[in-house]
Amino acid sequence: MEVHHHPQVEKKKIKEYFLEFLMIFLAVTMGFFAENVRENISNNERANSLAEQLIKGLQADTANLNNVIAYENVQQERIDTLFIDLQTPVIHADTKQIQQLVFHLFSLKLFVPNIGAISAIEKDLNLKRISKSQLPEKIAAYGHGESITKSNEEIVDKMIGDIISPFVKRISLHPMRTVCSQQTT
Amino acid sequence: MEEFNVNMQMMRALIGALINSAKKLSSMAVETMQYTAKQFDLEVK
Repeated sequence: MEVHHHPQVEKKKIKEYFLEFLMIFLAVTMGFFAENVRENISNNERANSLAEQLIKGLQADTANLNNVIAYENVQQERIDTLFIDLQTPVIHADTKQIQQLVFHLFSLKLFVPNIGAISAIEKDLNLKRISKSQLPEKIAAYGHGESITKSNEEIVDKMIGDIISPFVKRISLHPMRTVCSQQTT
Repeated sequence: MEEFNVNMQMMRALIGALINSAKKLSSMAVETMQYTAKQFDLEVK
């Protein structure tokens, strides 16, 4: 009679199973942390680049706005001079100066905002560094101020068309209208 | 002419409003710029 001897298989102890589990668990956890750190670094880089773009855009906006302010201050002075000139009796009036002033009043320096960085930030509001800051509120407030400025600009533009144009036609000047729009940088 | 003078004064006032809003927007831009620079440790040139 044949006798089969089964080879003795060493049974794994619970301790070994636990060690295997621990190693797999650690590997998965480390992978998760590594991915998190990588994502964090890339998000921070993106947020930083957006912040840099925003600063550059706002610098350009400030320069544009200062040009608009300076130009419109001169326009107010021109209106004052024109007002005085028009009070002068026709015989003594400096017709050439009046014509020049009216001609200059035809122009309007437009504010062209740099919206690139702001739109990019609005699309990336989920970035932790941005969402946790006050930047979204500040950008929204700036956008609101921007639309107020643009509507004031439109009103002035309409006034130029409604007031200056008929006057120019009446005093037989060439109705040339120059709108100096600022170059976007 | 009288009407034109009145209209010119109105336009002057509207230009004033435009200047004020532009000044306000400019100071908002500067404030946002400084805040961003501080928040992200950047330098404003």
